[in-house]
Amino acid sequence: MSVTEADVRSFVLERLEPYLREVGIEAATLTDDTDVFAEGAIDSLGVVELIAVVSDQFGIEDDWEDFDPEELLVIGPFCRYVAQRAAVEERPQT
Amino acid sequence: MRPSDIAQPGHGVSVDEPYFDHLAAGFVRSAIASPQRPALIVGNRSYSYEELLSSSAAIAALLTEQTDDAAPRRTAVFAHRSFVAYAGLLGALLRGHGYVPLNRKFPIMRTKAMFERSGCRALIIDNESLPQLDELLTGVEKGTLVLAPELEDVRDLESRLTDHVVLGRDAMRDAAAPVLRRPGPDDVAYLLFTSGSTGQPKGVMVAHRNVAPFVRAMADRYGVSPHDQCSQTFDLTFDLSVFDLFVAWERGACVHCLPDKTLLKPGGYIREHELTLWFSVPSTAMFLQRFGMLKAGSYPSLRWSLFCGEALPVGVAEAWAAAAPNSIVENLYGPTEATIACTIYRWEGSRSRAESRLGSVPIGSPITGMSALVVDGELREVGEEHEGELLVAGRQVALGYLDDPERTQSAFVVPSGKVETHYRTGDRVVRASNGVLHYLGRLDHQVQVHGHRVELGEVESAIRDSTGAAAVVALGWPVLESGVGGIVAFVAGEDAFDQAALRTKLAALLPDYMVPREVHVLRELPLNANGKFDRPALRARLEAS
Repeated sequence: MSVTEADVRSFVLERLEPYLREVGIEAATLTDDTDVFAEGAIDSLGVVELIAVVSDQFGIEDDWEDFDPEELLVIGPFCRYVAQRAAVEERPQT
Repeated sequence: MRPSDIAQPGHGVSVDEPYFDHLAAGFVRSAIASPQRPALIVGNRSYSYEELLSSSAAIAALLTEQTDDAAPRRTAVFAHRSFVAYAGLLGALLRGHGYVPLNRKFPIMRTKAMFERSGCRALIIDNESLPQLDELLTGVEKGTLVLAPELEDVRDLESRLTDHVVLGRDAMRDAAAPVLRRPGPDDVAYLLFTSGSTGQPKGVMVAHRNVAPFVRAMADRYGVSPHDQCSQTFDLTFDLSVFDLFVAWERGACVHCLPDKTLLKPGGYIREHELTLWFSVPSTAMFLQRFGMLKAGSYPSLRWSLFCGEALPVGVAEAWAAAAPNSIVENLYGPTEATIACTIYRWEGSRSRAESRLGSVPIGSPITGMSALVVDGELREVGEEHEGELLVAGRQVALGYLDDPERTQSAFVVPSGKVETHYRTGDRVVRASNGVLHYLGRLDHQVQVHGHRVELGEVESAIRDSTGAAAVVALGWPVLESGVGGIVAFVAGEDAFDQAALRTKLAALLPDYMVPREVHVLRELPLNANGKFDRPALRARLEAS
């Protein structure tokens, strides 16, 4: 079954929820353009940890070469990127 | 104003005087030699030496007009990764002031404490830091100079800050050439604050005579030339940034200020701008590894790859050496109190792998002008292969802590049988039989979080103040190869409390890297046989969970 952007988003938001709460952001109010790094919800280690768990969860290889650092960590582009990668990397196995 | 105006007789720097111990002298010499070459890249904008010098000179001229010599010769620079940040600290130096970097990413209360303790009567600020200005100046002595070099319209600021002098872009236009005076032996080049166990940051005073010879030595060691493209990864509140800037400017090279986000994943930037000299904390290299971006041959433009600020894991050094095959990897070590770096180790593949201990690259041996002593608790030298505290002595040992003779005295000591002042690093090391030093950890309750030195006592004191709890222990957690990932705290209490609210309170007191990632409430904290908190038992709990 293929991974959708919505799947990624709900997983990411679940992971981020406690951090968001601390800086007073309601997960429900997040938009595509919300940048959780710039908002101070997560720090650099948080970004790297999130990348690790997301890669694990969606079976993505550790190669984020083509991901634009400016989009670390903007919710919309990040979730889209993960969903696309998951879709591409799923194919050879099916 | 042109750079050559500054070289006029009566205007300070004599370009023929290579050992003029002023931190900004090398920059001025480079600006005179090659005014059109790029000195600085911020974002997509490149600034020539001439541009950077003329802005700095204008700032210096305004500081000269507006501040008198009776006030402490220090100027704060409240700016972050902007042109004003660099022009600001150069301007302060050209004025003959030491600069005091302030960081808007720190809680404003902490920034305010640093600013007040520094005694600065002048502040240079970039537009992005202006939202914190009102709070910074609340209660500050009247007549402080606020210079916002890029602020078009100062009227709004002027009407709010009626007690102070506000200058903006207009004031920058007609500045005179500054006079660069020869600094006295104890004139401070910069004042940097480090974490202190009692909750008060300590201001480390580094003199021109400490830092200028270091900068020259590094420019020689790395053969820096005008063709070099050097990284600027460290925040100005971290002393390694002094290396980033002044080693490059000493020889007319270009400094690349990497934006915050690019620092999370700088691989693309290194390639696109063909950087030749890389300097960062090992964490940055580990991030790149995490992103799958340390593939062999990825960064052919690099000549030098330098790491400092935390332990360098062997695996990271190896991966980086393969990713930047034309570069030499070196591990630098040094506390702020001994000016940036005082020992260096060169990575040499399999030989170094065999020599490394506990998975970390050695910190090497002292650089010219510095010496290292490994001592026991009584400050007596211990032999090779014996663990002890590292003491360092030499020309880079700083003046001490600002207005704090007590802590200066306990950290800057003359061990018996020695004549020189040695700085007690608080680092546990061992000297191998070949003379190479190995870093083993901290002696006290300090940890390194991504290169930031953190006194766990300061975190504990903030938690006690915020919760009223008496029994509090903070630990570095998770333990990484290079240091720790963050802080976790334990508090003795009956009930769970609102973690988020506590962390919000702490975030107002401490920089983000010091705020505990988790706070565990236990009915009581375990004690060891001496009646002290049993830190290893608490660490074991974390390991088990």
